[in-house]
Parts: sequence; structure tokens; C-alpha cells
Amino acid sequence: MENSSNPRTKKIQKNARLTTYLLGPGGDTSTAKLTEIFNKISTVDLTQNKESAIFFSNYRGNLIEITANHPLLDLKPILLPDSIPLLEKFFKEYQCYFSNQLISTSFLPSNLHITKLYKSLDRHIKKLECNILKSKDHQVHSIKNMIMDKNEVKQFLSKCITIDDLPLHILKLHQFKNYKTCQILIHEKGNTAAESLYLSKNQTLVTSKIPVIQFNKIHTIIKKSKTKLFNQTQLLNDDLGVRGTFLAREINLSKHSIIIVVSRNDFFPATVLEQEFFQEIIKNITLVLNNLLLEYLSQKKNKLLKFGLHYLDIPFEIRDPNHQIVYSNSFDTSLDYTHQDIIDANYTLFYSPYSDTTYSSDLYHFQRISLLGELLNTLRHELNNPLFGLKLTAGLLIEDSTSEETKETLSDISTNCQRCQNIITNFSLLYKNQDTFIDLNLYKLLKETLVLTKSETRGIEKEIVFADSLSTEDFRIKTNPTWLTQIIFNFIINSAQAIRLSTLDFVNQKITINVNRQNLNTQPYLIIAVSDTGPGIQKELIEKIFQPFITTKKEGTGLGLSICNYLTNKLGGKIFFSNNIPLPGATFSIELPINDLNKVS
Amino acid sequence: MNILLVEDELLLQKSLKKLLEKKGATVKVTTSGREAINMLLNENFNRIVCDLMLQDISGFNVIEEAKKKYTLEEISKLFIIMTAYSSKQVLDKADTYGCKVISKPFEDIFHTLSLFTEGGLNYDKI
Repeated sequence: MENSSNPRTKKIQKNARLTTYLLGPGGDTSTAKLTEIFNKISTVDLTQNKESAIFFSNYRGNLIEITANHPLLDLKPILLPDSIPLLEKFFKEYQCYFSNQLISTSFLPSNLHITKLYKSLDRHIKKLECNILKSKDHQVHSIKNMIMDKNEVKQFLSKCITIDDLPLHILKLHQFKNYKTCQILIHEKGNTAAESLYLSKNQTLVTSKIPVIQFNKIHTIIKKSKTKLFNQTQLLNDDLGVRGTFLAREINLSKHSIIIVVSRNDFFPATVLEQEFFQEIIKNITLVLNNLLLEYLSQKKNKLLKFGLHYLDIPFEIRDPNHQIVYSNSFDTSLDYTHQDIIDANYTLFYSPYSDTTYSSDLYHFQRISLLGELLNTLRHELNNPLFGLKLTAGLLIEDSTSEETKETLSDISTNCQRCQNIITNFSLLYKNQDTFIDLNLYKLLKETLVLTKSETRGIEKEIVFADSLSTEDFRIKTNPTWLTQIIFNFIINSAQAIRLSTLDFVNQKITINVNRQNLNTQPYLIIAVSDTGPGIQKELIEKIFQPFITTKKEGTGLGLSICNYLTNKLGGKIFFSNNIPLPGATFSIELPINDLNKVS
Repeated sequence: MNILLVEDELLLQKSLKKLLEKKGATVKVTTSGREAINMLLNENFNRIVCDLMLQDISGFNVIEEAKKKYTLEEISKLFIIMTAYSSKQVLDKADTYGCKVISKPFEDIFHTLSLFTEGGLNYDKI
């Protein structure tokens, strides 16, 4: 309220009161009536001192004649009807500009018709305001600058990505630079509470909820007002954070009612130009507000998902567009990697009334997978150190040793330590959720993946076959190595397990990785297919094969292929499956879009 | 050159001691961070090679205690940090002391050994 930084306020406070001296016969009924009227007008005081009075007032028939008694107010007598609001407005406008001493008489029309007077007064005031602004800021502000042009509006609105930004950007507008606060109330129809976004300049946004009854009260008052200019006495409400006079406007959209309030937080009323500008903004905001609100809603939803879901008693889960569960509130620990994704994609919320038994099996596995990554990371660090020590010591002992046999053994120890380290590093890379795509040698990656599957595929022949048109040794692809390795790793493990289940003799058994290139509508695709000679997939399972928790293995989690599906999507590719009819076995393949880095030569 | 090696992985400690001694350094070892603090306050080492994850305290605690005896500039010459957890936070923190950080396992053992024996704190100049 005590706003020392606003020079206008200071001046007004110094000589804010307008005074009028009542002319006329005195003592008669007309004077008494005049006294009564002026007592009701807050913007002007009656005075008995004829010399110091700024105005003279007098009854002329049914009209009140007002004359200026001030060297700077060279005002011709004005006739106004004895309506209190009208008089109030008249004096208020003078109150605003009197102290600026810029009043001139030129605006008065020759014939005093009341509507003409007002139009003229209005124009004049606008002109004055411009002058005032010029003199105040030593800047050249034209009327054109005050009103936003279309580009400016566009620019302004494009800055507002979310509704949370809106108060800040409104206050940033140079036309509102003296404004201290902006508050936006949003009521989603049907809700019992409305949201309030309150921003005080240079502070952080405060969000709160207000009961809908309060919201409606404010809404109604604002809706009824023509000027959209208010002060605290009109809208005495704790829910509004503004003080003093303020501009407010209601907006009604299909699903929301919105109230936008701006204030300088002082008692100096908004200028006509500011009012107009405010209306202009509101007009333009309405166009995009709907989009912002939809965004706001989804944001709210995400916030709820991220923070609220965890505390719900009802079992919920979030599924990605492929119906894979990415989050469930049934665990104490959530899956870390899902959080970001929930915001980006069209994830859906499902009520999951699992019985206790399903919790303990399926969901237990799910949780276990998420722990696995963490565990691997710990393992890597905890094992790396002693392995490193072992390797180093073995190396040192080789030099000291004289026996060839001991030397050889020590050398084996050293090599095996290195191998352990490599395996651990590779495994922990598998579970690193890195989003980076790098340019890599595909053949090398596939070979490394085969090394990882060594124990499962022991005794089974394995082969990597690149199509003739592709250079095997140095074929490069830009992709995420972690995800791709994980997909291929899963395929190979599945194949190996299928073969193992069907036979004990691996003589004619084989796992083949085929790499080929295809052009679909000029977009080159890379096909990586893993085929085996196992029993293939049973007919009734083919439809469900990529769904989570579908497994044929006793110890299986049913997550392998669904993770492959998920990861392939993340790589921008597609996943396929077919049985090798009439040959035995199954083929799992992924189709990845590639940039033509590798010219066919 | 007088080196203090603080490492709680015994095999690693032994090997490193041996290797450093081969390079002509005098090496004292400890597995405990607290003991390391005592040693560095009572003796003058030219170089302290310190593991970050010790059983009792962190290697950074050791450096903090060393501040009682050495200036920050001396600390940056004296200490080399070894760690298996070279995360960004660790690197940033080490940066505030100006110390070198060596990730375990070492990529090139000979290069690392020469790093350990190069430079160091010279007491003649103090």
C-alpha cells in the first residue's frame, strides 16, 4: 500500500483531495440537496473556504454546474446530471490528473451534450495519459505502443508455455511494468474448488485452492462490472491477494471459468489506457487459454501421478502406450526410469485390483528387475576393486616366479580377472538407462552380446551373418548400444533356452543372427533377426508373446520380450516374430530405421 | 620420495606398495582413514595416494584433516585420490581441493604409477 516507488502515488497523496465550494443562494433546499449529494461522493470534499476550493458547484435547474476555481484548470462551466456515480466518475478522473497539472481546456466540446462530453473527455484523457507517460518515463510512448499489435500478442502468448507462466508474462509486459501482482483463478466446471495462481513481482508463484462459493462470488461481481476496475472495498475477499485498486476480468470457456486480476497494489486507480490494454490482452488470451488449460490439466495429472499416486491406498499402475506396466504404487520403491516418460507419452492409469497372490509372484518379479540394475551397479564397484587387486598381484608374482607352470597359472588368473571385469562392465552397461544414441560398429556389438550369453548358449553353434551387400566388419549404425544389446541378448537367451528345453544333443542346433537392409518408401531399415532351431512358439501364445508376464519357463518372469518390445519402440523400430515354417524353430527380429551412413558398395 | 598409501583392498595395497617401491619410493601403508590422519600429521610425506571409499571414513575427510597442517595449494600437490566411484559429484568435490582423481581399475598401470611418483610436495621449499 505504501508504495514509495510509484511517483504518481506520492503526488496524489500530497494533494489528493479535490474540494468544491457550493455556490448559490445558500440555506435553501437546493443547497441542502447538493450537500447531501456531495457528501456521498468519495472523490471530492466540500469546503467552506471559497478561495482554496478547486471547484465551484451550483444547481442549475435539474443539472449541477461545475466550474473550476484553479489557475491550472481553466475549465468552462460543465453541466452534469445529479447522478452520484456520474459525478463520482467525473471527479475521479480529475483526481487522477489534477496533480499532474496537465489539464487543458481544449477537450471541451462547444455544445455541452453529456455523451459528447464524455467521449471528448475520454479522448482527451487518453492523450493526457500519453503525455504523462512521456514526461514520467522520459521515454517516447505513443498510443500505438500501448496497444499491442498482433505480432506482439503472438510473441507474448508464445512465451506462455504453461498457464503457470501466464502471470509472469503479464507482469513482464512493459504496459504493466508498474503492476506488482497478478492473480489467475481457474475453476474447472464441476470441481468444488478453484485453483489460484498468485504471483507477486520478483517472488515465486503461489498456488492455492479456494472454495467454489468464493470463486462464484468474485466471478459474479466482476461479471456485473462494466469498467472491470475494482478496489478492495468492492471485493473484500481474502482469496484475492491483491490490494488497493485492481483490474479484473472474467473469462468463460467450455470447461473452465477464469478470473484474471492485475494490480499495482496501491489505491491509485488504473488509467483508462491500462484498462483498455487489459481488455485487449484478455481478448487475445482467451484464444489460447484453452490450450494452456489443457496443458495445465495434464501437468496437474502428472504431478498427481508423480507425487500423489504413491500414497494412494488403492492399487494403481501406469501403463505405457503398449500396455506395459511402467509404474505401480504397490511398491515402496518406484521404477526410476519411468518418471520422465510418464510426462512425455500418453501413459494410462489403470486400477489394478491384484489379489495378494498375484502381488507376490508377478509384481515381485517386476520389482526384482528394477532392483537388478541397482544391484549390478553395486556389484560392479564391489567386485572391481578386489578383481583389480587380484590381477595386479598376479601380474607382479609372474615376474618374481621362476617356475614356468606357476607363471602360466598366474597368467591365467590375470586373464580371468580381466574377463570378470569385462563381463561385469558389460552387464552394468545393460542396465544403464542412457538415452544417448551413438555411432557404433554393429558387428562388434553383436559379438560382445554373444560373449554375454556364453553360459546359456554353451555347446550351441552361433553365427552372425551380414547380408552380402553389407560390409560385415565395419558396418556402422547410430543407435543406443545398451538397448540394442539388451534386445539381442534377450532373443539369444530365449533361443538357447528353447533349444535346451527340446533337446540335449546340440549337434544340429544353431542360433543365427542375420543382419540385412531394406528400403521402405526410400527410408532404409536395418533388420536384425535371431533365428533358432528350437521347437518354435505354440500357436496359442503367438498373440500374447510380447505381453508382460507371459512365460513358458518355470523360472521365467515373462518380462523379457515385453522389455524387448518396449526398447525397440524406444529405438524407433518395430519388433516381429515368426515360426520358421516348415523348418523348426522361431525367428525374432527387429526393424530399425537407419540413416544412410553406410553406402552400399 | 616418501609416499603414504591409503587403501583398504589388501591385495591392491600390497601390489601398489611393491610397484612403487620398485620405482624407488619409500612407501608406508594403511587401510584406515583415521590412522592415515595420524600418520600425515606426524610425518612428512611427499605424496599421499588415498582411496575414497575407506572402511571407517571417506578420503575427503582425510583431506579435510590435512588442512590443519597444509595449505590448499600444498594439498593439491600432496594428494592423489583413487576411486572406483568416479561420479560427477566426486570429481567436482575433488576439484575443490585441486587434487588429481584416478579411477579404479587403472587403465594404464605404468602411467598411473608415474603419476603417483611425479611431482609431490617438496618440503625443502616450505
